[in-house]
Amino acid sequence: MELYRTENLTYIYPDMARPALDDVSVNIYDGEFLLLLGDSGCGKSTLLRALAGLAPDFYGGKIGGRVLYRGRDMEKMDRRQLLRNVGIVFQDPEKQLVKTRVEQEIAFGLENLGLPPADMRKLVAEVINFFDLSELKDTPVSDLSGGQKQKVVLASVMAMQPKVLLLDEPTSQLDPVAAEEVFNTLKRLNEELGLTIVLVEQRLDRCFHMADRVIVMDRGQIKNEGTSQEIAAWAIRNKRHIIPPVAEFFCCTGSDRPPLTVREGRQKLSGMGFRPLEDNESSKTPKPVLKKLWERLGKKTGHRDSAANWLVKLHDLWFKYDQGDEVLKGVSLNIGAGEFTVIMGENGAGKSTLIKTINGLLQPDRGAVLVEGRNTASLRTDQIAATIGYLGQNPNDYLFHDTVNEELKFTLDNLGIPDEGQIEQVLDRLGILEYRYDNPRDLSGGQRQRVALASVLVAGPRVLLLDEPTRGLDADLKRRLGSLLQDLAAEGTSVVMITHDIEFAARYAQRVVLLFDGRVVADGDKYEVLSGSVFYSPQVQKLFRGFETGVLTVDDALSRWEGLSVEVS
Amino acid sequence: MRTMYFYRDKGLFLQRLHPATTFLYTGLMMILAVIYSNPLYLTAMLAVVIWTIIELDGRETLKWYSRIAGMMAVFVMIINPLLSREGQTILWHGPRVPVIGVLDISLEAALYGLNMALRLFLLIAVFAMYNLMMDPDRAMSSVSRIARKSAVVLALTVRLIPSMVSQARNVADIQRARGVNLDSGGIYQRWKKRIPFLKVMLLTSLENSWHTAEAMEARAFGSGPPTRYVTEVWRPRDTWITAAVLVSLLTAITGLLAGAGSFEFYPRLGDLTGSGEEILILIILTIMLAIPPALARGYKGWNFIERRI
Repeated sequence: MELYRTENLTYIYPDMARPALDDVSVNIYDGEFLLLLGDSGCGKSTLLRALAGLAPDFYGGKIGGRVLYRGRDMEKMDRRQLLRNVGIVFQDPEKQLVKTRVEQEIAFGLENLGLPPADMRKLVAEVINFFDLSELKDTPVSDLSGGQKQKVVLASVMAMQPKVLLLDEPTSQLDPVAAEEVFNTLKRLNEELGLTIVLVEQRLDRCFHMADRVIVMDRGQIKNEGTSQEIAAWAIRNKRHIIPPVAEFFCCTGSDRPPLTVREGRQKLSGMGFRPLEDNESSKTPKPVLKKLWERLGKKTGHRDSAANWLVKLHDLWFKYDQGDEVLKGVSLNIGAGEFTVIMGENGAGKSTLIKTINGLLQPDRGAVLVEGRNTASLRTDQIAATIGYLGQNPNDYLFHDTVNEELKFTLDNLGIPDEGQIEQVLDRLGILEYRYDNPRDLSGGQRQRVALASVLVAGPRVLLLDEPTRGLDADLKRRLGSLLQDLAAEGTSVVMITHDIEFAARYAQRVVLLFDGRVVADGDKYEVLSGSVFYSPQVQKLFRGFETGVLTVDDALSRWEGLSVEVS
Repeated sequence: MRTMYFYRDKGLFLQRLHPATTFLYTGLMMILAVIYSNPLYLTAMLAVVIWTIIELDGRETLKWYSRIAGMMAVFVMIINPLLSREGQTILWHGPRVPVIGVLDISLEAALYGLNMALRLFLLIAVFAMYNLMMDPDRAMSSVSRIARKSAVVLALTVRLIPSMVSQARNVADIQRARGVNLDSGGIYQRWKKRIPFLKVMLLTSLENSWHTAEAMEARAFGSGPPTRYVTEVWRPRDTWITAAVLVSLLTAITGLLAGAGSFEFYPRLGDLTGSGEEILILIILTIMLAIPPALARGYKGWNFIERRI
């Protein structure tokens, strides 16, 4: 049954020249799980807002065409009636919560709808049960984790009993475990309750296979639609890197109906000529391709060992916040020039604390931090700032000047560095030179992050620390960030980055450090660390476990597959 | 240390009262503490409040507040006799001081100061008791019955404080990492360096408020007349305590009409105990006001009471 139909929907935000939606005609069916894909600014969020009635009701602007909900023009629907049919969840749970307690929060929408108290109590009880929130019901909202907050938001929207749930990147601010939980909940809602779901998402490896249908948007228009498999094959033909690695690998080998999950993929591998490894057939007998890899590895390891002058040397660091247990328990780590290191680990493992000790934002309780051979105990952060650049999680925390240019100059002035063309150079390199005299707050999320990064890089730091820079970035922006960081490392800057994004680490980093409970539990080349791990491993590695070793990325996998074809012929 | 004077939920009997009950009880205490001037009445009430605080596991808090109240009390006790010229029983003849006049210290003025200190102490203790008893969140959402829109603003503000505190920390970190030394220079310099900091906070909260508004719109805020979701429950204990408060109130009003509870300090000290009626009223009042801590004690001590209230 048809639920939604948009007819030639065109929408222009106030004060904008270009339409955000350009002649969009789409049908959405009852009970469907629909995934909306596309790069930042392609109009997918706007389409979601149009379906929720927020554009133009909340945003203003001009609208052309019609949105029909069950055959009725949405513009003519009563708002309360509409809201009882359509629920929408946004990116950042922090900005969607209104009340101080969980139970009150869940009831907020119902209060606004003016439901009688008895009905509200029943709905709240049902939702609290379904989402398993009974233990949290009296908890202050500020005490919840990010994942729990998003769950509460989801619950409070579901309490209004919508028939359709629209979600705008609901996991972009969450770590992988919390994101997984959100996706599982969505799956349950879709399968058990038959709820129609329209999802806009960047984190595709967890939800691509769940979708009944995928729509790809570009510049306000619908580029293509079809099943996940059809879209995967189409994306590869059109060189669009929007699909998760397993599907990408099989599409690149020419499959038209690619497997979407690791399980399906592994079944297909044997059919392609990959042979399972014997237990004793370890990586010590490498095939020709592997040999090359080991040589490369060996070179790198050798290089690391010979570097007597570490840029940053952390020796036996211990740290404890005023409340709670020790966060760092004897961390020792050496970082050489030109290394691209990724620090991974669960929430609360001490990742952020660790990198804050490197630039002196936190002083370790015991142990020493040496930067270029100098102990930083007697130095303040601002005295280390010229050597060590730091990009925090939220780029907005950097932006307060009227132009991008002033933003960069602020850093230079603080450090007493004259501008000898660095500003222009850095902006050019990051591809934001055209915005030099624009207000940074007028830019998009990805551009803002590049401005923040530019304001750090302009000082020419020898070490660059980044705290989860891939959060909320789309595939294209991630690729640009990845290659930029690789280039910086190649020029001799040490890059140390915290991330939960295993695919990103597998693709761009050299070295991976795993933290657990304040201790380093693994440290080494990414091929050593990620291949040896079962859960902390990229999708492609999971696909090839037991077939091939040292395969982390689609490119690795493809070169193995090509090697195989050569052997066969 | 700081957690001591903030509300902490310990699941205590007195923390599980209906907000209306708590408001009534503490409200009456406050009013009586202001109206009464008889030291016997004030002392009796202070004893009740201290008992309640102890039942609220607030010994530490009591110590903390006592220190502050003690200092203020000493201050009042010293200042009043120095400035008051009304007493007739002169204890000490002082010199003539410009502006103030003759510095005579009278017994009445000294005792009046002592009584004022007692009342101050009582008021502070009632405040401490309220803080231990009443969850500010619950207090706020109960008050919000009266003005709903401003209540939402208030809730949002309260909720934003923890996230703004952590954001402020991040922004300060980032300023340092960009080479700003926040702790050097004179006052003017330091303030100047904090301007960017304030700008970031302001800009970001303005942007966030837009998103929050959108989320609220999507959850039907302002779509028509709202109803109210109530999580508070009314238990027998609330009935008991409310009844006790009402009896105290009636007793107090009857007493006040008869002049009970007041005490004349000037020009000469009045009769402390007054008539037998006054004593009777004091006893009834004390017993009634002591019902909440007594119930709390019974709740802790006897399973029989615990299950019935």
